[in-house]
Amino acid sequence: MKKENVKRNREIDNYENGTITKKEGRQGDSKDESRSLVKGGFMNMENIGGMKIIGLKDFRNNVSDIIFKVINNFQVVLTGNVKKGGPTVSIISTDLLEDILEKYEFNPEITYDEETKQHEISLKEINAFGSGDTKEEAIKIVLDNVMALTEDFFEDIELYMRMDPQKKQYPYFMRISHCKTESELLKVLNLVQ
Amino acid sequence: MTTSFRDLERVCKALGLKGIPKTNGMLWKGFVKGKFVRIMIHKHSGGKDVPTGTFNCYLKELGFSTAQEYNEFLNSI
Repeated sequence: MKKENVKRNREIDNYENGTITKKEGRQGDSKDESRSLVKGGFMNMENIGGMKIIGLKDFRNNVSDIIFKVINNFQVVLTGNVKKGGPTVSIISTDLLEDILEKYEFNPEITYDEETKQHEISLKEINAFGSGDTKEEAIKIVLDNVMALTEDFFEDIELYMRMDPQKKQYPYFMRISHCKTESELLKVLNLVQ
Repeated sequence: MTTSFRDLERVCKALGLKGIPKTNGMLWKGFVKGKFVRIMIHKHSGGKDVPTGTFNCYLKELGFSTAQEYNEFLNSI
């Protein structure tokens, strides 16, 4: 197993050094290179921040090795149409993503409303509310509402990402969507009693 | 001053929001006065009153400046 990992890492290192295809090496010598924000070959470029952008073809051909390295070595890979430029896709380990998302904390407000004699919970970060005769009922209802709002957010994400207030809620919904159990969700929402 | 969740649903419908059935209730969403609104009403909340804090947030989102304005609209539908 260890031997296999070493071999795999070597293959990826070779790949990252541009020794996989001769074509890449030739293209890396392009005169246009100095004017661009990216350096390296057309099929495997590096942006100014040092992040390598792997062409789609290279990504397809090396997908399992890339994913292995992303998971085990915490590397982040950018891929996209290197020739045409434009937006790229980042591949990041889920553990690392969850660590980054921890910054997006929920601060629930739990109050008792004298007028309606109900416990009230509000999660301003995602505009979610819940209420009930007891605090436990209010928590149960806010959890159901959060799950419905999260489901809707990702179902209609194309719309929400075009609107600034909703776009800002994205990391919060992303955090929620990574919860595997109700107790994990309660913890993320800071609703653990 | 507050309202029941049932009346809130009537107002959402009258304002042209679309009701999307969810496992535990109804999600009302759409645009009110050019602003996007999303209100989730739980199936167990129906006959209950909307707590004051929640009601005040929904009021603003639905484009009403006061609870009185909301009630006038509710009485007109």
